[in-house]
Amino acid sequence: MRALERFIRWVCRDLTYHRHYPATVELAHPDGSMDVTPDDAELRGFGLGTIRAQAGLPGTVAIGARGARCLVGFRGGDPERPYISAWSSGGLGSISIDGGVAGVSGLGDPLDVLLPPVLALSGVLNGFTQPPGAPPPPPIPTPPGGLPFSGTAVVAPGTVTAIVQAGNPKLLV
Amino acid sequence: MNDSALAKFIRFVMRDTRYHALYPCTVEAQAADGTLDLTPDDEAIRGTGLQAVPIRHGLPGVRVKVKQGARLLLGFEAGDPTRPFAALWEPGAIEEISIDGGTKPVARAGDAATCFWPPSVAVTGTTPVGAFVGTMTITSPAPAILAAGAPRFKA
Repeated sequence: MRALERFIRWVCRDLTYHRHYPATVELAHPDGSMDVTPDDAELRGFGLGTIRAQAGLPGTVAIGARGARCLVGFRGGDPERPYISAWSSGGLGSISIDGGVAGVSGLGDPLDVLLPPVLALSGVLNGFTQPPGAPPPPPIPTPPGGLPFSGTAVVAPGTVTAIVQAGNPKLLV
Repeated sequence: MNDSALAKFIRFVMRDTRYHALYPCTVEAQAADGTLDLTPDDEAIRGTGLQAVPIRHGLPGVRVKVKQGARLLLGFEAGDPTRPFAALWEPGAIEEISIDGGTKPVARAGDAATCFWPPSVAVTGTTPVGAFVGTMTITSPAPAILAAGAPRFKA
């Protein structure tokens, strides 16, 4: 009976590659592939080189950092076709969605404000004007209804700053 | 050994392959460390449910908070019944997703922003009473909105 059991195990030996095995990322290559070392001594060998992750979202390319923990599976149960199937928390190298290369902004992040060198202005001034002189004379109020004004304002480059005030509270970066 | 007995024997020999499959289950609770208490649909593996099951994500660097009742698949690392993992979610399960330890909500096209002006802005122009040259102090921050974003990535 023991021999039969071993025979059945031998016949079904390819089932070894139906499992998903814990592994560690050793190196991420510029082309997005990674070298990983499985925990399982039977699978480990010299590690699995230049394998890619099947991402959990379409259009996504995910790369783990060195030391990232993951699961390795085999396409079609074929030991020649390993892939990374899932990830533990942490260990992010990068995520790109839809080929994106720009960083995502988050609440509180600064923004560059692009203003023209000279801003055209028009409107009505209400308040006080300060005549020149030393010592300064008393401020003069603008007439009732305001003082119509048209002209320009010069804003030095880089002097206007901005921050993001809102975002999706369920998606954090 | 008749066919039935042989089939039972083969089933017995290969019994560990039961843990090669992925099983639908329901989240009962999530612990502070992110692990889950799960109840599998399949009575054969349900028992009293599985506790402190780690999540394996489809992307690296991701942490999630999920709702009680969320539906997902349960698997077993290396086919080992003592090493369950949770993965592959049905829609509508999410409480919060954090990428790379992030704590700031993601901004989207159309979200609000605030502009802060320099202390003094040089102004020249005309008024009914003559030319005006001076400075302008804008004390109130100006509202703004994000004008663009990745069109295929929505949050």
